[in-house]
Amino acid sequence: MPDVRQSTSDTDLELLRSGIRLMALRVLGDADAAEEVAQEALSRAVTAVRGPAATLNFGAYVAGIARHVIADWFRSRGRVASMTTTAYEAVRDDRPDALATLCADEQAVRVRAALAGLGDADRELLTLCYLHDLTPTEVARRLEAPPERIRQRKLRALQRLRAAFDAAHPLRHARAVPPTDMAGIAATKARGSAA
Amino acid sequence: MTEERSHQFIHEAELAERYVTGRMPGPERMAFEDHFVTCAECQRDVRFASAVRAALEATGARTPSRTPATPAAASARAPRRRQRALWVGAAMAAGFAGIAVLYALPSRAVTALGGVEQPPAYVGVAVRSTAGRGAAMFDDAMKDYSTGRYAVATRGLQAALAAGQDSIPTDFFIGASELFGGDARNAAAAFARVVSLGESPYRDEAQWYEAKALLRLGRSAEAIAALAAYAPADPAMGARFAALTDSVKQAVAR
Repeated sequence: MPDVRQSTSDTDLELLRSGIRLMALRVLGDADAAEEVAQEALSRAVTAVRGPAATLNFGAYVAGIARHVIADWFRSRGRVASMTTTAYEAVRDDRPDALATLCADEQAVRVRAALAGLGDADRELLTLCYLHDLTPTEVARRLEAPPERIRQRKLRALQRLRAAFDAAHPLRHARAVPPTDMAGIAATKARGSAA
Repeated sequence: MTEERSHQFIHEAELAERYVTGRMPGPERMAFEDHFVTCAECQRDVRFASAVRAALEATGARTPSRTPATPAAASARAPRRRQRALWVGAAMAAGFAGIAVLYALPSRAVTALGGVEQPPAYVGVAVRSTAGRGAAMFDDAMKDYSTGRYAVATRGLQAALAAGQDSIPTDFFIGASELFGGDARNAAAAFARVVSLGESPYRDEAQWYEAKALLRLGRSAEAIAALAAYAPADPAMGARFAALTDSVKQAVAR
């Protein structure tokens, strides 16, 4: 397992921030609150790794901090009686559609256009999966079709939508540049680790 | 497991889709979050799944009268359609303008709160007694329930009820089967029956799932009333009731 301090210096902080924001937005349903949580969780994580070295999965470490910050967020607003895992669990599925706000407008438009280009049967299939939350096996049972055929149809339909999605915003493999404050913190910490 | 292989698994298991649609159990969800928080590819998959869901919702809103592919698919969507038709009819009768009809539709923010990840667990307990006909039918139906055959389980449980099986657990699992079979209206009715029968080990959860079923139908006020009907004995359950009530009020306010 990687050392946390080493991991932080190697980790794209902007990627972490983006991941935490996804987590938070899904639960909170509010972009500003999600950004606030992401900032706070990252700050706590960076502060924590300045202390004694710990060996654990850094992603899990930061995600755990984020979950606590989200629970804190709810507690501070009096939405739950106490800060517990239960409190976080209680609201975790309430606002899944908030994540859609993280998609660029162009991505949304292209996916919608690609969806309109699918046949009725494929749209029906995706609707059952994505809006009625059914598994392909459950869909197969409902549509009285072999599960494998349903999976293949779904895969082909999603490939067309994914092509439209990626065309709007190609996957960037390069590391994102972290914001100035985070870059400074990371550089300071890296120097400390080297020393 | 190499990163490439782990991503192959992530795609095959449709983790991003299940994360977005709320079909992922808690431990699995946390493990996935632990991974994607440092994984650009998986974050992108989550965004893509969200975009698909949003596009489907938008398309569905534009073409609500589209002919379903099959009768089975039509029945899966029936509760939402019936609800919309009622709202539209009421608004027209009142002489509202078209824009008012749109505002009267159950909001997506409310219906999304009706999501339930996993069916209520059933743990059968063996007892030293001669099982009656109703009990045997109940056991058979719960085998179907445990394997996700909810429509079959519903029929079996209704038969068990008719054969004299204890109505509280039977109605509770009829509600759960209906909920996961896609009929929120029947589910709400079954859970309401359990609640109306008074204090029982099933009442708290019946209130919770009744509220969830009502939310799926867009009946936010009734869902709040269901949650407020009785205070749960378990403080953790009380916190969940409070959080959901608060979320419903906020969704309605939006």
